[in-house]
Amino acid sequence: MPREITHHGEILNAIGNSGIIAELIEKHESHFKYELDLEVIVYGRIYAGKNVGPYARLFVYGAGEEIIREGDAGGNTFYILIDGKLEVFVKGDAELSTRIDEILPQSSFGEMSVLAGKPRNATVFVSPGVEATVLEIQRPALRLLRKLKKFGQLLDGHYRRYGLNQVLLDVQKATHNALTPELLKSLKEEARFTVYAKDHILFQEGDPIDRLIFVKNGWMRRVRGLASSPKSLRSLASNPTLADIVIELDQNVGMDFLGAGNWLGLDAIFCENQLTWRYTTTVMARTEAFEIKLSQFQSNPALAKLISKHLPQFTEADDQPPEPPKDRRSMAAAGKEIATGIVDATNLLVMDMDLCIRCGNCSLACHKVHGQSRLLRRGIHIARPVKPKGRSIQHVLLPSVCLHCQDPECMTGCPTGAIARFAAGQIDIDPHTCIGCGDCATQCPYNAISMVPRKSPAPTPLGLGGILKNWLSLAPPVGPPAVTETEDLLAIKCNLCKNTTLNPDGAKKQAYSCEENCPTGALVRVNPREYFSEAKNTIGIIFKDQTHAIGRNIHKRDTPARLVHLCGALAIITITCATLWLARKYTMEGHFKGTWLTLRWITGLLGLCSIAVVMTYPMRKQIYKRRAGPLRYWKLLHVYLGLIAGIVLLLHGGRDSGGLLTSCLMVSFDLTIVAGLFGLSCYFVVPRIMTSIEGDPLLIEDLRTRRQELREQLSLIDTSNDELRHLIKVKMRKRFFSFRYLTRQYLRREDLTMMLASAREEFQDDAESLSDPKARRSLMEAVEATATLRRVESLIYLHQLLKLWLAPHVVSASIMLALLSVHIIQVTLFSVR
Amino acid sequence: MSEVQQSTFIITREDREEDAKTIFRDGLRIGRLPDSDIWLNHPTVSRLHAGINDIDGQFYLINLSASSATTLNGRTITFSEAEALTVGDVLQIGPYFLEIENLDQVSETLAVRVLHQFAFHVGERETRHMSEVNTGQLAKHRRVAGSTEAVSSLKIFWDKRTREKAGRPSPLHPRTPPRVGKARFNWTPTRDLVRPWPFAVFIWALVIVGALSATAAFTYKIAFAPDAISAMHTRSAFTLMPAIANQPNGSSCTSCHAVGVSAENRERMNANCTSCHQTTAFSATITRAHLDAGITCTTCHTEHRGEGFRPMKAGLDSCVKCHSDENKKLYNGKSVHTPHGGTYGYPVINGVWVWKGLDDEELAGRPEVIALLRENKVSPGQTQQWRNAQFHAIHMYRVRVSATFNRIEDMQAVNEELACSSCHRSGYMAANVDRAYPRTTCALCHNEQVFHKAMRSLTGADKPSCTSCHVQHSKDIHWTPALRNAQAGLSINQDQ
Repeated sequence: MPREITHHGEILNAIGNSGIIAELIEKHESHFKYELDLEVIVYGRIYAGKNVGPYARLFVYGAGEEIIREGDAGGNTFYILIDGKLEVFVKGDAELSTRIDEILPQSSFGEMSVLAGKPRNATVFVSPGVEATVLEIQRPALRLLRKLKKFGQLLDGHYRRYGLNQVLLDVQKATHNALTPELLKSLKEEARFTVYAKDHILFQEGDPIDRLIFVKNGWMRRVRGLASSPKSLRSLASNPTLADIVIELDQNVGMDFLGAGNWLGLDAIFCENQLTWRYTTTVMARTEAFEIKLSQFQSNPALAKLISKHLPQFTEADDQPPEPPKDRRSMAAAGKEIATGIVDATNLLVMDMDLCIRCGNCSLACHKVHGQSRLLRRGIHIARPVKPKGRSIQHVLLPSVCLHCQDPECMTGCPTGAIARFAAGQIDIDPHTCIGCGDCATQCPYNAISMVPRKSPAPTPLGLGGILKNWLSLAPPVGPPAVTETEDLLAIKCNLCKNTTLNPDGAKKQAYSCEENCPTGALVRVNPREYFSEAKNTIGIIFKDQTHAIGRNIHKRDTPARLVHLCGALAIITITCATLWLARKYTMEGHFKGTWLTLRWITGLLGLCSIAVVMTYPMRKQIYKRRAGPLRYWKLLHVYLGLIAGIVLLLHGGRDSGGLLTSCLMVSFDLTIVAGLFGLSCYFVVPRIMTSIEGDPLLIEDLRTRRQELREQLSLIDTSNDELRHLIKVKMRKRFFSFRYLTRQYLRREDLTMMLASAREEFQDDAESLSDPKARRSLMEAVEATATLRRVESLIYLHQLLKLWLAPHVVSASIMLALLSVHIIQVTLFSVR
Repeated sequence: MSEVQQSTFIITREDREEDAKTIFRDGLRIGRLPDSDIWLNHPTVSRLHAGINDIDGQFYLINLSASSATTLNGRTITFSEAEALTVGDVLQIGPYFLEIENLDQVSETLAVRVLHQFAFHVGERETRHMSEVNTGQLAKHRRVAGSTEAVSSLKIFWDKRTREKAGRPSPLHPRTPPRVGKARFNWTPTRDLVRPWPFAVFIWALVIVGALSATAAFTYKIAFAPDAISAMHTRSAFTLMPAIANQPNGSSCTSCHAVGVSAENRERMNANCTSCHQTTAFSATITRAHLDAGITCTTCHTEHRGEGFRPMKAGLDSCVKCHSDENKKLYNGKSVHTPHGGTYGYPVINGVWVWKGLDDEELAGRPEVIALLRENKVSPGQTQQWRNAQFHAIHMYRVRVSATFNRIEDMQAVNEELACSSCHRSGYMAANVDRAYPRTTCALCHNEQVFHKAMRSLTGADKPSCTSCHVQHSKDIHWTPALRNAQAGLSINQDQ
């Protein structure tokens, strides 16, 4: 175990001896130049009662001790060797580690893991026979130390070198060692590693090709054919949301997206003449690339030869200028996926809104597991073709829940280092280190972080009266209260259910509460680069990152569900046919040979068993904190066995309804099944109607708020003008508040803008008949608000329809169960006597 | 779309050590806000300090800061004033210098280079001529930037990445944000977390259903469990000898019932009765008329009426339930009436025998009647005499004088054979015969289970009833034990 030196003087000395960060203790006119930073890093500071820092600790490691280990997650700390000597070992895919380097004093190590948020790529030991003094520095200090000139340059150099090496390693790996050692060496010497910010234009169509570019990661948009287009059109090239309009305007304009692993400008090496770029390339998200200037090839023809020999073998030289897209919707979807940055997620929550029944069980499941729901069903909405060139559109929602970005903004922005990436790839917040500053919540582009009080209020003892009231009060249930405090908070976010009872130690597969508890399989956690095929296709060499989720795309193929469907359908057919055949052969009462069994008994027992299994579904719905199999399979089981029970028990009853009790039993049972089948058909139809008319998916409370807003807006319209009042109160009301206009929403399913346009058009003549221009405006405002109101209402009704069937289903099922138990008691008593 | 004037701006930052950046914008925003196109982070710079716009093919500098100065080539520009720009112009904003490096009005491209004051000799800045800046110093700095690789890629790495603005939300979105200000990121629950129904609903449902079923259990006992079966069906040994059933029932349900309620089961139940009650002493036969009308065992002898229930008595009671004028139902196409016009009448009307006599089968079972018929030498051809003789034969041998006979002088004749005078008070032959009194004596026996509830108590197994005349189960030897004793001496036709 390393020995820690806590004496501040020693730490200051160590910083002075570190060489690379010695600037930190430089003095200017007897004051420390970086007084505040030094205090935070070495002593720690207290901001409004919260500890920030210290970030630096000094350790003495014994000879042969391990400091960091290859493959370890974390990357929260980096080290500066003050004294001693260290050995670096790399294992990689090989059996045994090999020593590749040594570390001498005054150099840092481990900082790339901190920057890139990746596991350690080497193991570092102290050399035998010596002790090593090592300064351990935590991630937040990196932002402060970066100001130091020497350290800043060093870090930048490391970053570039590391980046370049990493690219070459990745390419080597992805192409199964296609790069020859001499090519590698040349590339390392000649190539320049650069990072481009968003919106940067790499080059424009018509510019001469002056360099070769290899994209390590990031996204770009290539547009061709705009050079000759009017200028207003040209500007659209930089505007991703208008991407599809460009294509609509001009069939000669080609556009596509480019992901990691592609070469640009390869043509130029092979060509004697000066070539020009045939398209404009704009950076869509921060992009790391390495470039080789063409002029370097002139001075180094060997390199040109090597590249022309090896590179085209494994990357398609992407110098084919982009074509006008064949599928505009794919293009628009890919554009949105890239522009919003969701493709760079490592573990993305996707909700297929055509399957989502808006039950909110995912949020509830999250709430049950974590104490506060970290899943909000609002977010980014993307409509994408299910299959390339296919007609059907899938509406997906990427809700406001952490997608565990590749380089999380929250993590780099955290002042105390409370946020880090952990072994399972999840970004998590350490509640003990978090000071509740809320910086991460502000910075998160996806609103995935929220603040809760650090100390949850202690539950007040209820007493007997309180418990009774809790159990018996019929007041409508209220949810947990919203957080109102603004002091002493704690940031919370999705941590992929790690460190919860859902993922006990040694669990093979990661389970997510939301995914486990989705009844329809609408919600799934995936690797976006695999899920979004339209974006995936633009990636050249696929770089696999071990932090990426190994999601099963159940939207594409869900084998267990298929199996259940198949077995269910087969079982229904077999059981029905078998019962009918047996009933014909033996009659319901006919004893089978040598037994007391009759078909009546068999069907009854089979029905009973089915009902018993069916009832496990509501029980499964009470389990949130443990794994109990994905709810979607339980629901399928519930549906199929419910149907089987229905058929079997219908045959069990036969033509005779029996006495009062059995008649009631049969009626309640049939009611349960009918309500269930109605609900099932609602689940199939309603979400699809909804997605086709709602645009961005909305929560029902949002819709209700909007309805209220629109009603208020309508009530505020000045109707002092008699004509206007008549138009609004009589004609417009009659038109829009009619049942017909409501059903029109469901039947025509127009786009909202089109619907509003046609509504305006209908009242155009009336508006023109008004003499007062103010009244005209008021009329149009009223028309728009009312039409929108009807759309909002139509959505609210759909939301309610999805819940409507549940009450009769549950009530009749309860009655059925009560009567069933009586029936069973009767029959059992009877057969015993 | 034609309104949008987009220009290309190439920005080279020498103060911030980052790569040159090319952007497409309708205008260039310069200021202290982090999302400015040229971000100048210094307290003397306004948040939105200045802008460069392309107006009709000419680039203009617009000063947007009222508080802090913007100078163009050393000349201060007043607030909201616009100045045309040319190549080589130098703007000063706070400690920053912005040089217009290149300007192409045709392609609408403007290149600007940003320098920090550290790049100059701080003390000399105020007195220096801008022309000097253009040539000497800038050239030097350009060389510096080109010669080193000091452009920090980490700058971009650390840079805040902002998400694409979602654009205008659709009109369906609420306009008011849920929360504002400092509490904006506070955890806010949604309706998803509210369970649809209060838990108490289930408890109350349980309580109500429980209470209802408990009440029902007491009130409609029959719905939960039928009443006990009659005592004789619970016994596991015969009490009546010779037995009228094949085996004692011993409380078994399934000897009669199969599981389930259905028409077939009910039919089977009757078959079960008949198959068990089929002995030498008793045969569960049903008359043709009843059979055709669908009357079965259980129609008359319903079970599950309690331990004290007696199936035979219930069977007798049930006759008049159907055979009544009140009952308008048709049985096998025939209507039923109150028997004998409600009188339990007299077999002779206007001196003519209307009673049809016994049928052959029954007659064969009554040797005493046959004996009397022989004695009187009547043949079936003599209808009136045949009936007369039969009638009197039945009554003479089967009926005993009982206390119910109204005449005091006959009291000592109780339990003796009837004499003519037991019934007929006067007259002997033909029209003279007293037919008034016998009418009342008939009714004494044949009237007991009729309309008056009180009269029912008089009815006993050993008393005459409907079945005394209209025999249902003709082979029941246990019928009216009192009579059987008396008949012990007679040769009763034993069933084979």
